[in-house]
Amino acid sequence: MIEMKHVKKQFDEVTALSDITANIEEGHVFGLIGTNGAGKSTLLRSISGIFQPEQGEILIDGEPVYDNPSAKSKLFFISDDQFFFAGSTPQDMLSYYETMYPNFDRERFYTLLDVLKLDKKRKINTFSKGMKKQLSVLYGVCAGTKYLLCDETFDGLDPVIRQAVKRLFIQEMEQRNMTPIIASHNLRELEDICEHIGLLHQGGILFSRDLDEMKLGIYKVQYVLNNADDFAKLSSRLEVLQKEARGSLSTLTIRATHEEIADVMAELQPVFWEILPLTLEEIFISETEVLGYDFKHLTL
Amino acid sequence: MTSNISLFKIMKQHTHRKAWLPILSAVVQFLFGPTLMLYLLDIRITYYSNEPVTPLRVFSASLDYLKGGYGYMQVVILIVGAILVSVFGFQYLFSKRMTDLYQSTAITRKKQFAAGYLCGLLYWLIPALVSALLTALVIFVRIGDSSYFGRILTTMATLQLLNILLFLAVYHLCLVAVTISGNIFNTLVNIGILGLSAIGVYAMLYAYESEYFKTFSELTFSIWDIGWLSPLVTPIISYIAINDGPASSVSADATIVHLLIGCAILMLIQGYIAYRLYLKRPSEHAERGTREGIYTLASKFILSVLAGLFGAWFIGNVIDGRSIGLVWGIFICIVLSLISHGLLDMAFQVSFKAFWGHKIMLIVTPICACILFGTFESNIWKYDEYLPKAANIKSATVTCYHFTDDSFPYLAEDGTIRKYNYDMKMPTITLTDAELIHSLLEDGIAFTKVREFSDDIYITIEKKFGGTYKRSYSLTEEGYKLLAAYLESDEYLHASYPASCGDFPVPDQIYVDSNRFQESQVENYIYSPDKINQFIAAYSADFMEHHTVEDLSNFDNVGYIEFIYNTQDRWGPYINLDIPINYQRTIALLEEISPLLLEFTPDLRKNLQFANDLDEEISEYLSSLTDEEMSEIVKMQSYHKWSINYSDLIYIGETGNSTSVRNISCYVSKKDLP
Repeated sequence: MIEMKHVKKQFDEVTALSDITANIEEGHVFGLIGTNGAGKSTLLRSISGIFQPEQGEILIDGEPVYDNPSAKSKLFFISDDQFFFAGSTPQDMLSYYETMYPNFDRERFYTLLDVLKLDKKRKINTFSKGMKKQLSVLYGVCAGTKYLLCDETFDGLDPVIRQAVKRLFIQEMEQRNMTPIIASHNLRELEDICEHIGLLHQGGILFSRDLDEMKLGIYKVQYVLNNADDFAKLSSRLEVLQKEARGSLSTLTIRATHEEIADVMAELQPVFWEILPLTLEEIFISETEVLGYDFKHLTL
Repeated sequence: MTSNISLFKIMKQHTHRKAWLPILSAVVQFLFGPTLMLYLLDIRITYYSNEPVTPLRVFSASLDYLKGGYGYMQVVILIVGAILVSVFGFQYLFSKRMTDLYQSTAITRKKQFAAGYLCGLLYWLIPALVSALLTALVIFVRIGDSSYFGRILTTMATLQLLNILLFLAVYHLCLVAVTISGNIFNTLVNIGILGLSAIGVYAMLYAYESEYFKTFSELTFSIWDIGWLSPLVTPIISYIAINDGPASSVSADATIVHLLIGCAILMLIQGYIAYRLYLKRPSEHAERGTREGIYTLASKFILSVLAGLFGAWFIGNVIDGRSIGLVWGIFICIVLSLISHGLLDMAFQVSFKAFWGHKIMLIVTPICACILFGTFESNIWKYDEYLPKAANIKSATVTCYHFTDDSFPYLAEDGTIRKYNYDMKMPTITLTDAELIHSLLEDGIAFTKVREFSDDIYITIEKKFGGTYKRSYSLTEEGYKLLAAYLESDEYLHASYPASCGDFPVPDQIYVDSNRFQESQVENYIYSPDKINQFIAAYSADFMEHHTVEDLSNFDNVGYIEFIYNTQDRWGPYINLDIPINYQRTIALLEEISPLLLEFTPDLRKNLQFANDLDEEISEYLSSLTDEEMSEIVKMQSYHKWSINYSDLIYIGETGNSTSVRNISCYVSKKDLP
């Protein structure tokens, strides 16, 4: 388990992480989402032991991670722009990773390289951005570490490869209980794979909970009311996070249980109402809008 | 799951990626090691001399080259090498992407530092040692006599130990710069600041001392004393000390040891600082400038104040060779310290906007520079004029540079002939007569006001109520007469003029020269032991006859005599003595070797020509002289010609044709007129 206790990280005057406290359970895919500049990459780098927090501590299976080889050997960090040595080939980089990660699975790496049709003798600097991302993922997966930290790893991957990578993650989780921690803006991608979500905003963590549980707590309701005044009654009974209206058809994002919504609707007797599936993106927008992260009215 | 990646594996990986560094090091060291030595021994050794190439000659030349051309080349290689291996060995600290890769791995920072450090050291050291061994072999083969091999190896080993120390000094300095910098540009800037600041401060102090403290005693400290504070300069200074500096003298060992001990201590301190800074270095510092802190604050302040002060001194001296004056000096101090501070801030923060980043310091720094300049320019210290009352003076120790031989050899315990250093053998005169000391100081202070430099005597005054102070002065003739009783004593003469008194081992040869010799017709080298002894005896007899303060202050020389020892050291001991005009015994020996260049004879009068701009009064005077008087003038003036390059005013040719005028010129000034 990765434990973060009151973690604070500052870059000169800028507070990148502010009192982050959260746990990441092993064996699950943890999605780290957040607004731009929320501190996702900083948090991943802190978990990887690259950054040393000014306050608080980060424990990997009970051990502090900073400058601790025992804890760091359980982690592999794929940065959003992974570095490859100048003029190196996948094979050259393999030599480096094999030295640094003693459990590196060379056979699996070559197999996966063949599957993804990446030439092991071609210079990496001639690879496309997507190919470099694929290669990073392969190194990460084959390093044999317990935790795999991915910063915007799905960016630049085509849909087919994205699915392949997801399957690869699932396979690793099944085979050796690997725990991927994925920071991304692409919430639709995370939605497919993540079981647990942490939402960062302005350096602080808003929440960290199971995706299903999260979806159970927030609902999108479409309805046509008989009486315009009924909305006042509805909003007084339920926590409305977002409202959109098109003619008489309104759509609300509400924080409440299914039963609470059904009770209110039964009382108001609208012309029509139904509960729609809520995407992670909608949850993200709703949650951050409440905190003032709202650019709907921005005129460009 | 714990990680235990061995240091060796990390170093192997490091080397795999930075293979160009050891390869470059090996190629350069091979070219400027054995190859250079081979060139020197094959080409240079026969370039200046047609003498047969004997094993002794090759051996002597090898020792010269090892400390000279080869040694200086090693200095350049070790300085450049230390910079390259530190900057490129720890290059990952300058890139966020590389930092992510390196510092996310399961390796402690200690081990990362150790791996980078050892790799850098070995990239230079292994090729250096191999190259040294090959160079020794080259020398050995060229000498072709195994009896010299031991000494060559010992010399080479000593020089390699020295080089290792010097390399580590520069390397550690560079590592400190690397750990506080976020990019290569800043690293180079910081290497420059850390490596040269002490020399910069020394240069500034030296400049201001010579400009404003004319009586400052240079004996207090010198470049040899503080050279170790500037690790970028220490290697060069060390080799200069070995070759041309105080190393040629009996004080050599002390000077070198002092320099190297300082260098070693600083090297250890900087190594430890670099290590600690590396452990504490925030990874996020990559791609930034220099970490803000005491270092940046102090270096910006010191360098900016230095720039202002040095600029004010330099511009004044370049324009008209003297102080620039208070107003202009303050103006230059403000401009230069402001610009320097702004530029350093720009460099440290890698931003043009940073020029104005620290507004308070931008105001404080020029003000400090101006205050310092003002204190010098307005002479508020009254340093040169300081004169304690006679009642407050207890004693004085006087050293007269003006009244000593420059250098002389002595027979060392190991049987070799070595050379005393100029400033180590000088005897001192202890004075306890307070009135005499006071008069001496008065004379020195008065003369300092009219003389540009004051460095003929060094004096340490002990005051009655405690405390001492040091000054250097020049004295007038009257001032020296105050010391005559001491300066003319036999004890002082033998202590201070051992060469002139003949107190030295008999040389292997002597060389004499005088403008009075006919050109190309004199064998200047004398090898005959009898003749050599005659010269020594004649010179010391002349010296003892003419040893008054007035005599010793006389610079009218007719030539010089050089006593030479056949030692292995190219810059080894020798004696060079001027021959004053009144040293009749020595001059007589000179005349035995060669006749005078030209005597004025009556038949030459028709060829007498005067320079176009010669004063009419002088022309008339010279024309009115008798042949005997003219002969005397020519004879005397020809002596002057040797030591003083007067412009030609009279030409006396044999043929009257100015194009074939013999190389004689005379100078007569109006004050010489009767």
